[in-house]
Amino acid sequence: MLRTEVNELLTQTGPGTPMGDLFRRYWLPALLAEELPEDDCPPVRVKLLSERMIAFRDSNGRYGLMDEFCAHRGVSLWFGRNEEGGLRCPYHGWKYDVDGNCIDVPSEPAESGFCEKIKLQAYPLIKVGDILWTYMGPKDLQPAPPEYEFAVVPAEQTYTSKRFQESNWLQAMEGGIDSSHVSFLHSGNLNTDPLFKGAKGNQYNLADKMPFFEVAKHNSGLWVGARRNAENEQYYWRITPWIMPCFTMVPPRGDHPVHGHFWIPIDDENCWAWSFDYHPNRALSAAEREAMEAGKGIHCEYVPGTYIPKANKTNDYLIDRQAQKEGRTYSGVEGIAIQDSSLQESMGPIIDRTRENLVSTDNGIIMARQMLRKAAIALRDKDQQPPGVQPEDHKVRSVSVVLPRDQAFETACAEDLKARRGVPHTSV
Amino acid sequence: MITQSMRATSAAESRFRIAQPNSKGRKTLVLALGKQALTPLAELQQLSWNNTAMGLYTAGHLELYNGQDAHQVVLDDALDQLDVVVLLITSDSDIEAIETIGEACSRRRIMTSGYVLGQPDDTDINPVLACTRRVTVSLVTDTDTDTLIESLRALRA
Repeated sequence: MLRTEVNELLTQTGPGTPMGDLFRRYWLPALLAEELPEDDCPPVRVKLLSERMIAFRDSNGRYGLMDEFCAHRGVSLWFGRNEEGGLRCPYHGWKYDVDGNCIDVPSEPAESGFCEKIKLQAYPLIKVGDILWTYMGPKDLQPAPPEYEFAVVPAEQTYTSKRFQESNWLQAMEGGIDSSHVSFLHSGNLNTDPLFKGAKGNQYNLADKMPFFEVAKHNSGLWVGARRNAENEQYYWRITPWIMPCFTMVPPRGDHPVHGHFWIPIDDENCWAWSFDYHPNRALSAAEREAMEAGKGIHCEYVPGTYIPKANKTNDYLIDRQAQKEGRTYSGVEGIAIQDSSLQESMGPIIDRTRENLVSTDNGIIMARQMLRKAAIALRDKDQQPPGVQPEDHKVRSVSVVLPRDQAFETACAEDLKARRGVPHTSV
Repeated sequence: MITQSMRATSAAESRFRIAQPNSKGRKTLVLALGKQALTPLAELQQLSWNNTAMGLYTAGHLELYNGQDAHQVVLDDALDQLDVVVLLITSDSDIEAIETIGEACSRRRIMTSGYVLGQPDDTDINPVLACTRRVTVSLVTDTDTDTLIESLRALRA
């Protein structure tokens, strides 16, 4: 359980809140690069950390992310004309560049200097991998760009998607740390999903539904090890890295691409579930990419033209009670992503954690909350930079491995848990 | 048409939850398994807990603490009626004691977790760690008691 005031501290991420300030110290995924596919393309509304913004790509290929509303009369710049090096409000023609500077007010003489007094709040927007990332914190503390392995491998080795989730970010992220639910909720998919099936590790997963959990802190987050029995007096370990504040990687299965997530607050009641798949040392096959685009693995099918999952609360997630009864799916909901989102949204927009009854295998969740709370308070009270900000902190990997019973995963897998360019991942 | 999921998951609807407790109180025992663990145990004793006993188990003897007082208890008696046992592991922890407690808890289906106070690469602690892994359902390694306190609170201890 969590006290009400701690629950509020962790779940509120708007401007001026401790967790909001914490999130603003990191580079965060803001949009898929495909959303701004070409110079002068239509602008895109973006809401992050309870701030409404507009993203655009100008005539020179520069990306901008700024206040959605024109400083003149508050019109949404989503209606703007993206042309000749800036975004022009269609109401009275005020124009802004990618840094939020007002560069033209047609009704005022240029020599009046009026436009120099107008500036919209703007944040940097940079492309790393398939993602446009933003940093919404103090300019003088802006870290170097992110270096998560999935984002820096060659384009043919990686695939990223995002989906809208109608819940607070924390309850979504906690699902990524809680590996014990896989043996239940996702059990129907381990042997059927094209991005999961065939791995030897699946047999261990399905055979042992009472994993042992071991959690260890590292500089920027946690290693959450889930241990199951393997043959010959050995253990099968699945090790999930969590990097502050909201990055997790799923332990790999065989030679399948490795998956992972970010959970980014849109506001306190909605978040983006970012999902990626990459292979550290080979291109994704056509079949793998096709499966990802079709919504397999941790991705999902969409309502056409949106990033809203096709199976969502408006259609009761297309629940199939017959599939549930026959064991084809454990919850009756199809697809790993929607199995997670349906349950996490069912908790309500922000779960009341005073009523939960955690068990000792929830230690990963407990410790992540603790690290977030301490970091948010240290930032608020001592202006202490939070862990996980620097690119070096991002260079981690998930691992699945069979180890002799007397070996500790932190020491046996110390190298395997580091991202190493071109080196295959450690996977069973 | 508004589906059940749409209606049930709205912020407005989230207010309507039965306001009765959804669990009974748990009984927890926090056990130091070596003298080095007595300092963190004393730290825990300064805090207020629900239905939580604390003690030291070494060389087959169990001592439970009540403030400054200590009294000897038979292990089987202490474990009866317990829901959670938390083992405080330090490099001087007695492997035999860990195994005895672990097996006794396992027989009674008591949720048993280990907190290792030290570094996982500390060679002195490795044999103790290996033993603790065999008998607990979860293990946390940390250098101070903050996580332990947080976890006990989360477990409603």
